[in-house]
Amino acid sequence: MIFDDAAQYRSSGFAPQVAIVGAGPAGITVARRLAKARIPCALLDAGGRVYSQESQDVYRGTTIGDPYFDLDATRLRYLGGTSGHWTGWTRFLDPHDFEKRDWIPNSGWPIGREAIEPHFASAREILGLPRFLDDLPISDDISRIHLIRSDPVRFGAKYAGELADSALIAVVLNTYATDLAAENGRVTAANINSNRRPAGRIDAPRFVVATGGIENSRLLLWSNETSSHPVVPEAAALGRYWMEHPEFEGGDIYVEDTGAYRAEVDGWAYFAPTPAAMRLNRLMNFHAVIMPRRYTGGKRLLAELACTAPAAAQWLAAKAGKNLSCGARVGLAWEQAPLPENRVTLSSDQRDYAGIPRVELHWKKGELERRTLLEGLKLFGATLATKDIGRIRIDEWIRNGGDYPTNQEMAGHHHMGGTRMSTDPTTGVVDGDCKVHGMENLYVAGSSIFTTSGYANPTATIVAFADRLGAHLAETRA
Amino acid sequence: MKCAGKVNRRNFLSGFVTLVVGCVFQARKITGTDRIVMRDGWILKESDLRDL
Repeated sequence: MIFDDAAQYRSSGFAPQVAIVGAGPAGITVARRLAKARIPCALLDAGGRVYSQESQDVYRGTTIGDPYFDLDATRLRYLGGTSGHWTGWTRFLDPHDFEKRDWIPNSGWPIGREAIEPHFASAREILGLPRFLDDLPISDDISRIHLIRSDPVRFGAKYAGELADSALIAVVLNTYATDLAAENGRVTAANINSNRRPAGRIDAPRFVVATGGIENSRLLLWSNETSSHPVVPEAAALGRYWMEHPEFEGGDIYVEDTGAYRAEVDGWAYFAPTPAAMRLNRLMNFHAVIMPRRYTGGKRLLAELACTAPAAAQWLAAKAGKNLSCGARVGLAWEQAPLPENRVTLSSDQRDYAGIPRVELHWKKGELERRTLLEGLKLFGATLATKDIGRIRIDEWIRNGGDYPTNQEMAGHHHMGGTRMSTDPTTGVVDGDCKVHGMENLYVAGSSIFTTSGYANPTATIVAFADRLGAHLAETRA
Repeated sequence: MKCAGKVNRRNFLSGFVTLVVGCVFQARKITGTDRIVMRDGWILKESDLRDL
C-alpha cells in the first residue's frame, strides 16, 4: 500500500508491528524482509514519489572544516532516497575493515564480516549484482580488486509496484518524522508533519531509523532534545565519528603493459593494498585506479609522450593545437579514520520549515589519511614498477604536502558514521544487532552504523546490513 | 640499446616514442639488486636511472 499522506494512512486502520522512518535502500530492504516474514510495517518517507525542491530544502545545512558538497545536493529526499544518486559502483566491505587495527584510532567492529556474509546473496539479488571476483594479489603489497559498476537500482522506481501491492507494507509519503518520543527505555511514537503541517504521531511496538548517513544523527539528536525521556540514553558518540571516502587524482601513470591487469569499465582497473601491507606500513585501506584517457592515433602518441617527456609533449601539443595530458591518471579513494571531532550537530540558528534545526557537518581530513595517500601511491607505484606494468609520477601537491586540489570530486558522497556500532556506548550508538544502546525497541539502519568505512562504495554493505536487521526483527518478534 | 627489443614488439609510432623519450621506462625483469627509488615524483626502478 502507498498512502500519499498520514491522514490516508490513518483512515486505513493499518496496525504496524514496526515503524521504519525513511524509505531509501536501507528502509525499503528492512520493510521487504519484514513483509517476507509476514510482519506488517509502516514505512514513512518525508518526500513524495518524485524529487521536489520543496522537500529537498529540508536537507540544506552548513559544512564546517574541509570543502564539501552542498548538503542538499549530496543526498535525496523522496521515495527511494539517495539511491537516485547512485552510480552503480559497489563492493562489500573487506573482512579486515572490521578488525581492530592498532594504528587506526577507534577501529574495530563488535562483529566480523561473517555476521553479514549470509546476507550477501540477498543484497546481490536486490541490487542485481553479479558475484564479486576474489582479490588477486599481484605483489606482497597490492592486489587487483573487483569493484562492480552495476546498473544502478533506483529503489523508488524498482520497488514502488511491489510496495503498492503489498498488504504488509504501508508506505506513508510526504510524512516527515521530526522527532521520536521515548519513555522508560522505549520509543513510544514518531511525531510527524504530513504535507508540511503538524500531523500528530505514529505508534508502533518497534522503530527503525533509516533516514540516511547524515539525517539519522539529526533525527536522534533532535529527539534527545525534545523527548521527556532520552531516545539515545548514552549519547556521547551520537553524531560523532562521521566519515566519507575522500577521492582525488594523485598522479600520472605511464602504463607499460596493459595485459598485466584486467580492466573493469572504460579501461579502468582497481587495486588495493593487501592486509599485510597495511599492517606493515600502518596505512588505512584505499583503492587506486588506473584511468586511461580515451585518446587514439596521434593524440594517443602525444599522450604517451606526455607521460615520459612532459615538456616535449607540451611543445608538440601546442604546435598541433592540442591540450593533452599523460595517457592515464591514477586516482585514489581511501578510508577515513573515525574521529569524534568529525560529526553532525544541530544548528543553533538555522531551522527548516517545521522548526527543526538544520544540520551542521564538521568534517576534516586528517594526517593519517594524508600519509595513506602518499605512502599508498608509493606502494602502488613500486608494485607497478617491479612488475613492469607501468610507472607512476606522484603529483607534486601530495609529495610536498600542498593543499588538496579544489577542482576535483573531493569525496564519494558516502555518508557514514554518526550512529556507529560499538560494544561500548561511549564510542558508539548501536550494538551488534543495530539496536540503540539502552533502548528496547529502537534500531538504526544504513551507513550511519558503520564503525569504520573501508574504501568500498557502501550501497552493497548497507543493503546486506539492512537485510540482516530485517531478519533479526523477524526472529525476535514479540 | 636495451630498448630495441621492446620496440620490435610495438607498432612503429608508439615504439618510436618509447625509443626516443621513453627508454627509461622500458620493461625488463627486475634484478635482485634493483631497488625502487623516487625521482622528481616518478616511482622508478634503480636500473631505470642507469639507462638514462
